[in-house]
Amino acid sequence: MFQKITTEELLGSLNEFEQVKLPQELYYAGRLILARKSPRIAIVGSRAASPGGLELAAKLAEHVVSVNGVVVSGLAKGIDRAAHEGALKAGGSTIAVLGTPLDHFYPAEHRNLQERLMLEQLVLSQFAPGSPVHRSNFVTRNRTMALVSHATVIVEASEKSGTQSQAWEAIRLGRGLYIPQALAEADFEWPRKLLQYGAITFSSLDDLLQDQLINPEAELVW
Amino acid sequence: MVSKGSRRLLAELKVASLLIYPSRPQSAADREARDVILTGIKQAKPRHLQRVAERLADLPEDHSVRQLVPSNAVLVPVPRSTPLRDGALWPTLDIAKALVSAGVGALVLPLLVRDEPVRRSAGARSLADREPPLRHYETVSAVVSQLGLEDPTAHYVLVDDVVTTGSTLIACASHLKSLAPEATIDAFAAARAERTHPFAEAKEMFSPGVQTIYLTDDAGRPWRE
Repeated sequence: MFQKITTEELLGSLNEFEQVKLPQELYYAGRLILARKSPRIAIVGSRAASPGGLELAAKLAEHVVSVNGVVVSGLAKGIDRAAHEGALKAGGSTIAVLGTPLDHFYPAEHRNLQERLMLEQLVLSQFAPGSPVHRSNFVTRNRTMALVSHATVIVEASEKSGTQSQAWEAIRLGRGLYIPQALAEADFEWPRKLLQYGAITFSSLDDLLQDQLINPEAELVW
Repeated sequence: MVSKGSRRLLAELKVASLLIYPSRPQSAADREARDVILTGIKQAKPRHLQRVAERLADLPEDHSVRQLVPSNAVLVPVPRSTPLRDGALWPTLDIAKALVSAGVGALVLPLLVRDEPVRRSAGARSLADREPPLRHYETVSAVVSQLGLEDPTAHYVLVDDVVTTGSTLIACASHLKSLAPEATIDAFAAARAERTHPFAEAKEMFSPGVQTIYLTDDAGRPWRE
């Protein structure tokens, strides 16, 4: 009942690094064209987000929409939801990349949001409908989200946050990875390690707007 | 190439490049050209790298660019601005491999690594934001000793994606010079950034040429002409 497409067909020519952890196929519901628009910016972070984090996620989504970009996120509570809702409120486009099959709704209270995104926007999953959901799905999904996005912005994250896997994948792929200054200064190790390998810090939305988040697909024009 | 007195850094380095792009785009064509660099070349998209290699290979052997990057050159990719994680993208290595596949350069030797992160040149908004050559020099090291080089008299060509001020290239070339004092050392960058260089059409970005990077003292800033 859901359609599928090969990842290469969807994303175009991929380099050898992009091919390493490539899901062969993606199931989708909604407007596939959104996965070909650019820039596609992932906005991710904690489920237990602070009010400031939720606000930043929504503003960031609004900004991505204002440059004709597409927001990408998961479908968890907290930052993910705020990012999608920010994009919708701004009348823009957003893509949800799921750690569950498309016929599964997790968390259950996001069923309405997922159904709306499946109809009006785009929802992607590398997991076949009906397949069991394992914890490891979410880490796998995080890598796929990094691959689908031109850059990843972490809005808030805790010490054991699953967001780490997406951050390292963005670094591995050489994509932009933005982390808040406060997270870089927090009392845990992983954000500092990310900075050693090329993550970029920001302390306000203004910082982000000045950087090269705009990263459209380039055609061979010469 | 001249190295004076107790200097650690080279005073000059020749750099060949194939494309030109405006780092401060003014028009749609400018932005298109910049995007080719930022997302095609710097993201090591295979068709972009292949095009660079093919267009370079197509230049006549006596073209100034080809003379700097001859078929027998040993290509040395320039390190990224941060240390490299295992299995992570290293665009200049991919560019060097694409060149060798097209018959430009004989082999790729990843001789230099970045030990400590420095600020990215791509994100710099002003000269003050850019790391000086000495900082690049001190955060890069060679993975082999002088004796480890099979041919110390070879023609080594550093391969970079973009040359802006030339700070990274002159620092890397200085390391190569200490490794192989008798070698010829040049550089190739897929593209050179010019602050403003208005295009009517993005395809005008194809502009093969050779410039020289100059550095008057170790603590200074280089210029390129």
